[in-house]
This record gives sequence, structure tokens and C-alpha cells, in this order.
Amino acid sequence: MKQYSENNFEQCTKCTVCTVYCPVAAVNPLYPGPKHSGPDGERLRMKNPAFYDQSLAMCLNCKRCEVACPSDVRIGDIIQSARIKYSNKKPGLREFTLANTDLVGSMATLVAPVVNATLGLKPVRHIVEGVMNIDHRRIFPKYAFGTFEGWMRGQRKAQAQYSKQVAYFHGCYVNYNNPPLGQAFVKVMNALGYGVQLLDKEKCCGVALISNGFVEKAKKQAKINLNSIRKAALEKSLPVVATSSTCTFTLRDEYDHLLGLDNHDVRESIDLATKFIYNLLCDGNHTLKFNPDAPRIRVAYHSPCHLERMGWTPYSIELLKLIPNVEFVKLDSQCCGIAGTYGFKKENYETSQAIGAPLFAAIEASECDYVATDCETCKWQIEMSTTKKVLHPIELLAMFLS
Amino acid sequence: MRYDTVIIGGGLSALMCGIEVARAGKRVALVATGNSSLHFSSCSFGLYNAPEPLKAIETLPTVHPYARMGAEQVAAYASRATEILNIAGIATVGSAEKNHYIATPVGGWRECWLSIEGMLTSQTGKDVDFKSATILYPEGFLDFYTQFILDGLTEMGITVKAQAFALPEIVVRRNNPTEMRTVTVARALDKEENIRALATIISRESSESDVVLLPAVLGLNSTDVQSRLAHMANRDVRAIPTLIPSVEGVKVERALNRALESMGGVIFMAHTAVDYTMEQGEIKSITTSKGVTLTADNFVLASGSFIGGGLVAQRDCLCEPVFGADVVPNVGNQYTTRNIFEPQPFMGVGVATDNNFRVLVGGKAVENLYACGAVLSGYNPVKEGCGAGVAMTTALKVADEIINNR
Amino acid sequence: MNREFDVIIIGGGATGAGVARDCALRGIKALLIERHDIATGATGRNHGLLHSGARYAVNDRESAEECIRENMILRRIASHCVEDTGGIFISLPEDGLDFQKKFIESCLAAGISAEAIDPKQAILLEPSVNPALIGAVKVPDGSVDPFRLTAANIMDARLHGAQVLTYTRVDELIIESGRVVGVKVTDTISGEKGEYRAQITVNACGIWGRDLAAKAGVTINMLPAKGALLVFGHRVNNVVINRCRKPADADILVPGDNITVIGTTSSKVPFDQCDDMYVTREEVDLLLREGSMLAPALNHTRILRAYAGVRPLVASDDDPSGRSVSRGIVVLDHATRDGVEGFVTITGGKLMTYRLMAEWTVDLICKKLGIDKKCTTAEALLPGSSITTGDCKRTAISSYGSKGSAFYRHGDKVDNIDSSTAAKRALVCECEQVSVGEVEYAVNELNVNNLVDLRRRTRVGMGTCQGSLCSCRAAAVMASAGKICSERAKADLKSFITERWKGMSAVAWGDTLREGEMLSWLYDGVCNLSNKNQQE
Repeated sequence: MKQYSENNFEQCTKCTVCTVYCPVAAVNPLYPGPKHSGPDGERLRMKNPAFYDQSLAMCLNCKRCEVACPSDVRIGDIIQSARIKYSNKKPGLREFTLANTDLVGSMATLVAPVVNATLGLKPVRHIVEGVMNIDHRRIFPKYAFGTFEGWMRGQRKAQAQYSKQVAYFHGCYVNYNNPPLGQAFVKVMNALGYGVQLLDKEKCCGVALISNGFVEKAKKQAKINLNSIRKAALEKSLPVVATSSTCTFTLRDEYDHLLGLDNHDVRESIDLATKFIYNLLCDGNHTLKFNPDAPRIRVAYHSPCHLERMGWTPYSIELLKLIPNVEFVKLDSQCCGIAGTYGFKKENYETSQAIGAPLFAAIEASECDYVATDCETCKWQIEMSTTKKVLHPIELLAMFLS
Repeated sequence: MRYDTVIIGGGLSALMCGIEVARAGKRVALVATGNSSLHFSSCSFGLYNAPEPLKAIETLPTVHPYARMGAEQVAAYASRATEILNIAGIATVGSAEKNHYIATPVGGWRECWLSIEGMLTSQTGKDVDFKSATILYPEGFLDFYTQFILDGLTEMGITVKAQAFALPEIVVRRNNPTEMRTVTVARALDKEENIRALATIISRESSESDVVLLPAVLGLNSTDVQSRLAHMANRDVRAIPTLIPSVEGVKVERALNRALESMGGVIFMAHTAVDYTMEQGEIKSITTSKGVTLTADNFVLASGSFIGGGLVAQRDCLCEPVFGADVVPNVGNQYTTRNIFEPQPFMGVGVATDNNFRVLVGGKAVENLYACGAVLSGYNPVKEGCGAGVAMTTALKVADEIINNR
Repeated sequence: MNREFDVIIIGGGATGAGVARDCALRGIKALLIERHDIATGATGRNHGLLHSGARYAVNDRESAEECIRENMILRRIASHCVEDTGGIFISLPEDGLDFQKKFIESCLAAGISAEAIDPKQAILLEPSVNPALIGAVKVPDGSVDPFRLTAANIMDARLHGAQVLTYTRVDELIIESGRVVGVKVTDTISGEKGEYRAQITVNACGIWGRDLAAKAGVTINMLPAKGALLVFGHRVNNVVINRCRKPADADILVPGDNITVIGTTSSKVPFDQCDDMYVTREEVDLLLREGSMLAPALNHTRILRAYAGVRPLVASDDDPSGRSVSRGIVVLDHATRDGVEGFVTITGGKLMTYRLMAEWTVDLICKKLGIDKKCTTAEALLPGSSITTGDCKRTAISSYGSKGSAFYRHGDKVDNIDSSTAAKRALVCECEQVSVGEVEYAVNELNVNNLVDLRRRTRVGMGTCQGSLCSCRAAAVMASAGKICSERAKADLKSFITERWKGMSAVAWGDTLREGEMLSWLYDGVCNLSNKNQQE
């Protein structure tokens, strides 16, 4: 295992800037905060591993500390690495269910209407809370009836006709919960003259496995993904594009930093949909035609934590600003509180909602018609906690194409 | 990606410059490694340590950034900076004609040009406009040095008492050995019920005092906590700066960020500029640590000093890491003196520019590359008390150059 | 306070503290006088290496034997000051393996366990070691914290009736009819003058002992040999790494507390520099160059600071390096040597042998005073050392929770630290985890007069930030504990920051310079401690 600390934690000047931006420390008085859990703690743990503190599990791995840090300390990585290295807490059934998004998803999509209906029922949610320690107030994302991969099988011929191709890393969410986002991506890419194909074999990126303590399984899946990505990127010279900011971040950064898997040969080939499309539109050879008669709408953009960490938020922003009938509003960048599976856990529910509260208030105050964001879990959280519907920038783009 | 102007940096100087250029209708992008040194703010802005700073500026050596502009321009930019702060919603008091004094976190005074409205200030640094004061501070809070402040005021002949207060939401923070920080206390004071409770405490505890003094932790996301407390408790409430993180500094940075974004500016957060391309003697694009290439007509180096990463101290040389700009003066390998309270040679080091703040690389000015703020050479921000003044006035000068020349 | 004693000990280093303790345990009425704080001289300015003696085995059998005996004693009596890290002596390709054979033989002959291990095994044992090594020998080195060790000796001495005066300068020795009978002193804080008398006065002043002896008209030929060291930001190694060759510069890398120390250089310095040591650029270069031969990671590890101490060597020849001088213990009875009665000098030796030096000194004192008491300092545990040794530390610290770091510092005395309320558990120093309770304990119980003293007792300000975050908090806690007034606390804060910067300045590049810039912004800028306000 590559220990992400190396000497990076020593760049910390103890300036305390990270402590201002930690969403967990803001609402949970028990969390020792990024500075103390990260660089300070790492120094002590190097002396004696007994300095490891279970409170590090409260970190939701949003990496906002890393974005804030003026010294480029990978605070979030240090904390997550310490959890992997020192925590002896074993994940349980709940962690298994939340983490194995593709396994559970593939079972659920077969019987989606039943699962959706039952998970929507209050008594069932109470049982889920009792058995699984998942908060009953949490609303589950609905499962789609039929997967995106299934839909793509029917598209194979049509997509193959485009001379230019991209490989699409759709992620579990598009596959099991929201195939229409994948379809929107295909529509936009086709409009740009690109055909879309799937990777040879795609597994869940593993972000939930990592955060729930299934590091070995995450590594196994990561290796499968990296093999598929290598085939696409190196053998077929295809860009590998994902719509989910968290999947993109995991493939590009967490594989290397937390799982210790070398992905340098393909890292630059893995791109985020909004960035890829914006760059195409800038190169002078690609244009998108928008429907001039589309209604004018006000869109408030929420920048997901992992997108902020990748530093690519401006691409989603600039792309949305290109849509003629979209009135763009930028929300202050802050965590929505869900952090993947974190907010599903009963013990985190209050924290999760408290973290998101200022964002929810800002969304309501923005008087927007839609919220846009690149992350599916942000979408669940915002839709559950505000009156607004949340769309991916790609969906908005597709909506406004003529 | 293409912008009209790309500014490397995300601190006071970069934001000031970005706002001014964006105000002129240009597409602006900032590239920031992380949040800025405004987090170490003294809740004030210094122009120059002298009773009449604008007069003192006239006699500075020619390499000083102020001398490059001339006192008249400095005065004009200083007043425009105040205006921009105001537009961003940052209310300040003070004038460039005559310095006033702001309380320090350790019960002393320091000179300044502008202070954030509501701070404890003095016209002379030797007396204050009240005779009695009550200091209120959160129980268990280690980043407010009550005894120093109390003794400092007492020495001025003021009748002072100090009283801890306990609000449940703040008290609970102390259960955490590290995270009762300025910002966590400030966040609690964003909440209506805590403001009310504190107002009640203020009116109860300070009935015999002319003023009430509180640490400058009054609301993190709201800007009106102090005035509301004053109104509710019907008292003259003033705030005293703390050490890091400076809540007022956080608010200044955020207000400037919002102002920039509302004018269409974009901030590439967590990006460090690492490379550039040149064509015909001009910078064509820069590339960031996140693999993003930014093309623009003009570039501004507002990347700060060593702590901001604008300058790098290697074992054998001090350098500017992005463009390899000329770094002056040559201090050899003697970056520091052994006494920290004496002037440190490294503090005066920065990039060399021409009088229009165009950066010199290999002795030659790059046509479309400007520098402003702490990355500049020729002045000592700490000893001269001019860090903020240089940051803002040079930023506006550079903005003017960009707007007028292209 | 009583002004009559059996023995006055001058010098509050490990040796002086050891003599005071030994006296006290044998029922001798002792007064210790120190002009600064305890452990401010050579005691606090070395590696903090718990020598196995292996380093001396080849050239100085006597020192080696003393070391391994004292090593075993300290592990027992000062367990909270000692960490059983183990040590290795590595051979690099340019060293060859010839020396190793002789080295192992000499170690074994001196009673030091020395086991040759495979280079691969050495890398497993200490992953930071230079992978180019061709051989390694395992020895029972460890690390010892000299501040804690001295403080524990002082504490025990006081427990057994000794009196201790710090910040007290000896102005002159009172000499009556050729006999030293006492001292005239000045309290350097209050300026108050005083006189103390005793039958015997012990000179335990280290290199400064030459000047003290001169006050009695006695000449001691000393050789001040400066040794410079660098402190790295974290534990690079967990096992002491030495070079298996003839002792040379910068060939020992010691993990101590949360940091690693490389040292030392050796150069002759004039006496007038002994009070203000600083580390030169050349010394830093040498330490880095040689240090990275032991552990290449040092090349890209942050250096927190540099410091230097002066070895109090008694010159036996005029070797300019001071290396071939034996580190042997020198006890001088000036009655027999110089005809001055009532005056004894203890010098030479090393931190490792402080206890033995004290034993010999007090044996001499007993002889002179006609007291028949045996030394017990090799058996009696020092305060703080009653619970743990070695591995217990691993488990014990988790049961002490937030007091884990304090447990390292105070051993079983950690129970005296008030952690009953959240306010007492709050951390003043976040890098080294020093709580309000610990600061108050140190201020009240451990004879702390200022922030620098506090640092020696608690590690406040010794971590990554070198005080930028904690020194103001600590000063304020001391001021509000009513121990010192605001005025002094602030002056104190300024000198603390100055002292921290002095060590950083020699290595001020990279992140250390950035830290220094922040320190300057905060304390010279925001706090305006140098008070730049214009005087109209």
C-alpha cells in the first residue's frame, strides 16, 4: 500500500486555513478537524500508531481541506490513508450494502418498481433503519427498470457509425438509477459528431468501497477498470469520459493516492464530460446548435466537492454559461453533506443535513428553476432537502439542443 | 480555456486586480493554489507606517512599488481600493491622509490606514475615546488573550473588567481539545438564538461601561452580527482582532470572491501555475498543476511571497517558480538575520519589474506579463506596514495598464 | 531560606542535577544553583542518544563499558525519559566491511550485544536506512530526552530535601583562608543579591567551569568543541542509525519524540562564543551531506531548526578536532590538585554517564565530609518512571487518550496533570499536544519561569510550527495563571519567538522559511511585538 503521507504533510505551516473549510468540524464538535486529524496527527502516528483516533472516521473525505490548503498538503488523503492503515473497525452489513453499489444495483434494477415502492414506504424505511442503521429519514435514489448498459446494447450499431468515438464510464448511478443522464450524454456527443461506446468491462469505481473500509475489494475492481481503461485509451486511443465527477476523481486520483495503484499511463485520458465537451467547443471545429425557442430558465450551479478537488469546476460553469437560454447563478462553493454513502448512515444523518443546511438555504433563496451539479449523490441530497429538481449539466445541455 | 486576462494568485492583490479588470468588461480567470493570506489578517489594511503615509511615500527609494507609481497615483488607487472594498460589501474606516491605530490581539496597537468597521481603534495609539470597558470572551477560548488586553487598556487609564460568557453551543466546542477556533465560535454567532443570548449577556454584564469589547469572531457567514448585538443590547460594541484564522479576513476574501464572480470572473481553485508558453516575446498561455491550459491576452503574477508560493526559497537561491522571472535584490545566501524582529532580507526580495509593473525576465520586460502584490520587490511589508497597501494599489495600477493598453 | 548547606552545586545540567539528587538521597544537604534554566548548556544540546557504547568500543573501551552499564541503568530508573528504539551501525560500500569485524569484537569485549544482520533485514528493521548498505550490526542504542532526565533528577533531589535556585548567577566564590566556603549570587530576575555557604562547592558548569575555577584561582585546561545538529520535522527513522566506521562527523541519526536529529560536527571554538552558539552554513551542508548517507530521505525532509552545543572536554593534548580526546570522566579535587580546599570540579564525561559522574563526585564529597553512605541512584527509580518500559508505552498512550503525549513527557506523573474539565484538556500546542492542564502543571510544579523553560518541560513550540500557533496561547495561559504579569509575559513571548527563530534561521529555506515568514507576519506584523508605532 502506498502510504500517502510520504513527506507531504510536512509542507503544513499550521496556518489553520483548512479548519475554516472543513464541513464536518463546522457542525460536529467532536471531530478533531482536518489539521489535527491530518498533518498534526500523522506526525504523532509515525511515532506511535496508538495515536490513531477513531474520530478520523468522521471525515467525509470531501477534500475541501485540500482545496483550501495554500501549501498543497493532501490532508484528506492523509486522513483516509490513516484510516486504511490503522483502523481496526470492521465494516458490517450496512457498509456492505451501501458500498457494493453495482451488486445491489444490479439486483434492484431487475425488480425496480418493487424496490422503489418498498424503499419509499415509511415502515420499510424504519425497518431499514433498525436492521441496517440507515436513517429512516433518508430517501433512497430510485432504481430504474432496466440498466443503461442494456439500453446501450441496442445502440451499438448506431454509435459505431460515427467516425470519432469516446469510451463512456457511466458509473453505477447512470446504469441503475438514471439511464436518462447516460442517454443525454450520448445525445450531446452524437450532436458533436462522436459515437459513444462502453468500456469492455466496467465495475463500480469503488469510491463507496474505499470509504466503507472494503479496500481489498476496491482494489480488485479498480484493477478491472484500469484494464478496461487501458484497452480503450492505449489500444484504441479513445478518450475515456465520465459524467460523474466523483467517479472521475476516484479513477484519476484515489486509485493512486489511496489504493496505491499506478494509473499514470491512463490518468490523462480519463476526462470529465463537461470538461471534454467544453474543450471540444473551444477548438473551433465543434459547435452545438441550441433551440432558440426553448424557455428561459434560471439555473443555480452547485460545485461538488470532488470536482472542486479536481479543479475543474470552471468547465461546468463555462459550459452552462454557453447555453443561451440559461440564466446562470453560481452558488457559494460548499459541501452538500451527503458525501456518497456517509449521509446514509444513521449516526451521520444529523451531521449530514446540518452541513448541507447553508447550501439548501442558498438554493431556496436563489429563486432558480433548477439546480445543476455534476455529482449524483449531491443530487439526491439536494432533491431530498430542497424543493428543487437537480439536473446534470449534460442533461441541461441535451434539453436545450435543437 | 481562453480568457482576456489570467491572474495567478487568489489573495487580496489578485482579487482586487481581477475585480477591476472584470468591471471593465473583460473575461477574467484567477488561478489560486488555495485560500489566501487574508486568513492571517489583522482586521486592518496598512498603507505605510508613518503618521501621514502619503507624505512619507514621496521620499521612498525608486525601487519601492509606491515610488514607481508616485504619491499622487498611490493616493488615487488607495481611494479606488476603498471604493472596491465598499462595493464588495466590506465597510472600512480610516483615511490615507493620516493613519490611525488598531488594537492588536495582545493588547497593543499598530498603525493602519483602513480598519474593518467596528474594530477597537485609536486615533493616537495612546488613548481611546471611552473611559470604561467590559471585555466579554467565550469561556475556554484560547485564542483571545484577555489578560493582555485588559492590562493594555488599564495602562491607558481605562477602567476595564473582563467577564467570560458561556453559550451552550460555544461551550460544547471546548469538549474538543483543538477545534474551539475563531471560526467555530463565529459560526455559532451566525445563529439568531445565540445572537439574542449574547445580547442579553452584554446588557447584563456591561451596564457600567462605555463600551463592550469582544473578540473579532462575530459571525462567519453574516456581516451584521456586531451591529445587531449593539442594537439589541443598546451598547457600543467593538471587536478586537485575533490570531489565526482571522474571521474578518475570511469574510474579506469571501466578499471579494463573490464580487469577482458576480462580475463574471472565474476562480481556478486548487490550481498552481506550473508552466507557460511564449510567442514573439509575449506569454501565450499558462498550464496549471491540474493540467489546465489557460490562454489570455494579459497575465498577472499576483502569486504572493514565499508563504503563498509566489516566491520559492531554495537552498542556493530565491526564485520565482512559474516564469523564472528576475528576482531582486540579490541577497546572496543570507536570506535571514538571526533576530526575527530585525528586518529580514528575504522580505524585501521579489520579482523585478519596470515602472509599469511588467515583469522582467532575463533583464527584459515581458510585454503582457504584470506583477502586483507581495511577489513584488523593493519593500518590506512587515516593517513598513504596507503589505495591504502595496497589494491593492499595485493591483489597481496593473488593472489600469491592462484596461488602457489593450 | 536557609543559607547554610553541606554542599553547593553550581550548574543545572544533567551532571549538576545528578549530583544534587545523589547528595539528597544520601542525606547530604545540597543547594543547586543555575544561572539560567536547567539543561540549558550541553545537556540540552546534543543528540539525545542513549548510547549503547558501541560507538566507543573500538577506540575507548573504558567509555564503552561505562556507557553500556549506564544505558542499562537508565532504561530502568528513567524509563519515561528513554525510548528503546534499538540501533544499527551500517556499513556503506565506501566503508567496506573490515571495520565491522573489529567493531563487533570490540563491542562484545565491552559487554555490548552486537549482532551482524543482513542488509535486507536492516532495511526491514529500519525502512529509511540507505538501501546501498552492505552490512549492519544491531546494538542496544536508544534515545533519551535530556530535558526530562534533568527535570526528573531535579524533582527527586527536591523531594529528598535539596534546594534548587535557577536564574541565579554566581558572582564570586567566597574564599576564606584558602578554602572555598560559599558563593555570592545575584537573582537574575529580581536583581537581588545573596550569599550561601557550604563545606564543599561543586563546579558542575561544563565548559563554563573553567571560568568558575578561575574565580578560585584554579586553572583547568578545557577545550570547547562545538557540535552542531539538525532537527528534522518528523520521525524519519524509528531505529538509531550509526555509521560503522571510525567515529566522524554527522554519523548518528537519532529518533527522539516526534522528530529526528542528525549530528554532530566537531570544531574548536573560542570561549567567548560558548554563550551564543549558532550553526554555520558549512556545518548545515556537512550535516545534510553525511546525514543523507545514513537515510537518503533527509534530502527531502523539512529541517525544523539547527542548534549547537559545546562539549566540555578537558584537553589532554592539542588535537584541534577534540575527537581523540577521551570522553572520560574527570573529577578534580582541588584540595589535592591545587591546594584549594572545599572545591571540587566534575567535568568531561557525557550525558550517558551523568549518573556515574555524580556518583564519583558524591563519593568524594562523602569521603571529604566523613559520611559513610552508599550511592543508591543506580537502583532508585526517578519520579515518573514507575510504570512503563518499552512496549508498554504503545498500549499505555491510548488508554491515556488526549494525555498520550503528556505520558511520554511525564511518565506516571501524568496523573498530576489536571484533565478533569474540557478547559484543562484544551490544547495549547497542537503539534506536540500540550494541554492547558499540562502547562499549568509545569508552571506550578516544575519550576517554570518563562516560555522557554516551559518548552523544556513540555515541548511547547518544539513542533512543526515552532511556536507560531502556540506561543501566544502559552504566554496568555501563563499570564492568566497569575504566574507572571502581562508586561513580562509579552516580553517573554518576544524572546521565545526570537529563540525559536534563531534555530530556524540557519536552515531558513523551503518550508522553514515559509514558516518563518508566517511567524514574522503574525508576531512582528499582526501583534506588533517590536512596537513599530511612530513616536511623534
